[in-house]
Amino acid sequence: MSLGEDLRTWLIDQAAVRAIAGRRIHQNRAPQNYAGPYVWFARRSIDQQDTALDQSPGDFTGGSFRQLFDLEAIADDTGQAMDLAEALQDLHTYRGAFGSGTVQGIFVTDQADDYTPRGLMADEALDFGALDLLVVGYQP
Amino acid sequence: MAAKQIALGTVLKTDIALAATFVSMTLVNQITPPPRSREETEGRDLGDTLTVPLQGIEAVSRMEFEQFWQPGDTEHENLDTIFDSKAEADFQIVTPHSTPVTDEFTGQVTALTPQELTVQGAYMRRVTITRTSAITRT
Repeated sequence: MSLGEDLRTWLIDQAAVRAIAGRRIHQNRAPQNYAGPYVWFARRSIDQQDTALDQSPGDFTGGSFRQLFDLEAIADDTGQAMDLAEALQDLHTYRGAFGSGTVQGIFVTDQADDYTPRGLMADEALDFGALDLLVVGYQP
Repeated sequence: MAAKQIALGTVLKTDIALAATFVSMTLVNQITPPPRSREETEGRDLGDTLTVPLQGIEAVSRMEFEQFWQPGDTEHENLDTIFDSKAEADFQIVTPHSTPVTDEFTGQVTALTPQELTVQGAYMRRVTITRTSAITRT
């Protein structure tokens, strides 16, 4: 599986997230028709942390050592969006099984004040909570 | 294959009674493990073309860690107790690698340093342990 697929699987496995968003976890593309609170994510940057012995393709089979994602909790109700964002924040410092792979650490922090959401595709007025999600040491 | 590893999941354990019963220290957010270095002694003779010092005994070695301080917490109070008594205790640092490594040594608490108090900041302190034994790695 890819990192994106494992991230989606892992988010669905989180009971508090699933209780609000169900299986509505979307990567890169957001749904045109709003069908309930959902999570949207997309990779923003990578940090290779190269070593002198690295070769191309890299020795690190999981890809880059640190991978930063934009993570959005979206709902048509402000309270639901904030509840979903809090459920995602609670995943901070998780480590262990991650979809079909493993991860050394998940770190969730707030987005910058000037962040522009990218997961709002529906015509409806939706509210969102925007977060940074850092995946460190992913191994498929 | 060699792999990079972050420190999340590292556990600092203490055995205050030296009874081989280790308990995890609470609220630790940063550890500087004790270094290993040797005293160097001048050993040059007239024929040498490169200075190679003689290796002496291990130099003073201190571990420092920082924790959110909670007065009354058993593990935190234990550090104050052995600071006052100057007693030795055993310490372990257990790594989060897929095959964990444990560094164990004996030491004394030689400094308890409260950190600056700010209106929105947490109560924190730095603890300094001076090593009194070799490090055993298992």
